[in-house]
Amino acid sequence: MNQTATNDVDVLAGDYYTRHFAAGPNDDTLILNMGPQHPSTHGVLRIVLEMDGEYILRAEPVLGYIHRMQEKMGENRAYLQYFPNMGRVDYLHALAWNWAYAGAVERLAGIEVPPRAEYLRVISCEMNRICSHLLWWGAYILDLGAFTPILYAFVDREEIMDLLQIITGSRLTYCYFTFGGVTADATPAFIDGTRAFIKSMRSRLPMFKGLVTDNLILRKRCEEIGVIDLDMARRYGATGPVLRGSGVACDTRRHEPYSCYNEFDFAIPTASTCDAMGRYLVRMDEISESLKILEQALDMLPDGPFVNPKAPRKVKPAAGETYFSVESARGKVGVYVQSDGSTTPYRVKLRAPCFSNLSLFAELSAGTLLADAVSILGSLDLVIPEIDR
Amino acid sequence: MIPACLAGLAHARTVDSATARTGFTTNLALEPAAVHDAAAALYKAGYFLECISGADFAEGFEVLYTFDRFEKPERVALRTLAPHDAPVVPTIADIFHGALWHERECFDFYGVRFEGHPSLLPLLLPDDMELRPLVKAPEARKSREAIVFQTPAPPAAADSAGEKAAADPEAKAKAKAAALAKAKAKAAKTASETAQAAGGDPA
Amino acid sequence: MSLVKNICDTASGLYSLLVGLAITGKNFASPQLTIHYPRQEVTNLDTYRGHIELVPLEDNPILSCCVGCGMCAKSCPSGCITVESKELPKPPAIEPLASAEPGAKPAKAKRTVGSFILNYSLCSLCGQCVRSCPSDGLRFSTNVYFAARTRAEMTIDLVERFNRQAAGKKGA
Repeated sequence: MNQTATNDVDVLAGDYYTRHFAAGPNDDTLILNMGPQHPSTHGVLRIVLEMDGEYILRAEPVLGYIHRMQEKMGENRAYLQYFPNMGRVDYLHALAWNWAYAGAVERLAGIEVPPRAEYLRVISCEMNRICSHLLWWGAYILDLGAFTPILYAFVDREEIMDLLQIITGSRLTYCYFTFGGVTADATPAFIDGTRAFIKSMRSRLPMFKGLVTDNLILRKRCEEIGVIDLDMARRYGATGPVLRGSGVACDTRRHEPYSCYNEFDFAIPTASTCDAMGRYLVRMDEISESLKILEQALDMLPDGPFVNPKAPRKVKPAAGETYFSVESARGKVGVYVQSDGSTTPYRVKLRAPCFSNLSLFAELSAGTLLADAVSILGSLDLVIPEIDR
Repeated sequence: MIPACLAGLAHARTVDSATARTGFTTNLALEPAAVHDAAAALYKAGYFLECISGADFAEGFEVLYTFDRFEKPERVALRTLAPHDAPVVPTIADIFHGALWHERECFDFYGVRFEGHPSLLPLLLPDDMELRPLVKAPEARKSREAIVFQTPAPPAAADSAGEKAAADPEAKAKAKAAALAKAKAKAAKTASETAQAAGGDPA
Repeated sequence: MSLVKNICDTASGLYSLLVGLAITGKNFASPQLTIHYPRQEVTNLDTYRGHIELVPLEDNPILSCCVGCGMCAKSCPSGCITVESKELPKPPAIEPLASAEPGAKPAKAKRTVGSFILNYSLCSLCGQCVRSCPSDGLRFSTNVYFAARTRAEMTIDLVERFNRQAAGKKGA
């Protein structure tokens, strides 16, 4: 169904979105496509820019290059069959999406999770969070032009991926959770390896700070770039480090506690500068807080079954709806499931934090330099498959 | 539980379902015309827009708006129904700019048009695609009454199952829902007729 | 006052660059962590989740636990399993008259897997098949070096693989 604005639209060059964008008020500006093949957009994201020299006048992200209609797949599969899709929505923090979906259906169907399984979920999810933050850090610095730190981050990521391979079997798109618990128990090799990892990660963090965080060039690229105030966060629904970098201590693990997060002692890092540097520092501090949670969870890991033995093989929740949210590395993930009492969901809605975080880019980037726009995009920590689903 | 900012809302029908099960502190069904004022009230009261999603029921396309607060967990769900043949809902994109994208996605998947939206272009689907993927075949649509409007079962008699269930809110909700599902099958038609006749009766 | 601050800021900024150079210099001099495959190999392949394979019976390793019921094919979200069962040949009765009671029904023929085709190009390694098998007949292999050049090569005949593995164990 074609939307035609004026007759001039058909005369302009470019595809559908370029034509609509180019029919703007100015005539002597450059229309530039950033993406969808671009090393700094962190996925197949296309942003149509109207440039006045190096300054961006207008920006409009164009989505849909990796849209796979995950929500339709949710209606066509039995509840258990939809789990692998969750790992592919946000492949960097796959376990958070696993958890959101498992939590939603467990609430609908009234399936309980034994304590050991809750702790295993926390341990694996926090390790996944550290893994995701490390990749964000390396890729962000790579966008800004530094080629070394990404491989330093990958050294630590390899340790985490090897550890998670012990219990899940996978390195990236984990399919570890199931209704009523997890699919495999933690082995002594995993527990010892995780304790050794916590120690080694703690010893590496000062090196990251000395190499990158204190670096003059990084500070010049990140300070006072992309200032997001509270009103903007509220209008667009920004959550996660994007929100906490603007001074709001809102983390779903404290705000709407799920599972056993109430039993852990950890702080919610915030920054008051509201800029890209604030979001950067929040994520680095979150790595330290996740290490604290890991330590406590390993110390408090109870014995018992790793999955509820009474969890049904064929999940058929009673009719109803539920909205379950979880804190992923990017923000507040929401999975909304409607059940009509049959073996397949009636509706599955995936609320992706990056979708809301990216929607403020158009307003945020007006008037900035193109290089600063790259820094802003990196500081939002985007995973495009999560935006497009 | 309706927050103070929405207290004066006309023609609101409260969905009386257990918060522990749905995750919604407030769950209101509105007429499409009331959505814009409700959103303005929530913005003034300091809520943020969490999500806008659609659903296809036998009664029409439902658009569900979820708002929440940063300070304390208080998820407000507003839902409105648009008829299948002319699905038009006023936009809230002038208040909550995040709705610019959420409403475009809803338009992509269901074909619901948001009146007043500055540029209702396809967001995720190809621009030349006519199919609205999440629209269900008419025979596959279920009634909104069964899935959304579940009135809680009357207090259970003092049997052991009821007492055990009372201790655990999740099991309580499940027991209520299971007991109700059987009754719903028989009473669904009469319930919807009575509800439509009663109009804005909150109970 | 602001000139002094500028000089201090510049000095601390330049110092931060020197600190960074020292860190990279130290890492440059440290041993390499990259494993040069294929001259070296990784050591944690035993936990790798590769494609599924059939599990042998404990007391009779030439047969697999799989009875060909098809639960795995039904629970697979991607529809990549095609499985058929077949009857096991009945063992020849040594003393048929002595063991048979008058009026007893003949024992039902045991079934085993006849053919098990896995279309690996569709598989997402979710594990629903492994968990839904009632006879624990499937497990993940550690076949990390699986590679294919055509789509046909991505179709794995698991019965053939199982027979090969069983023969390989028995043989030299």
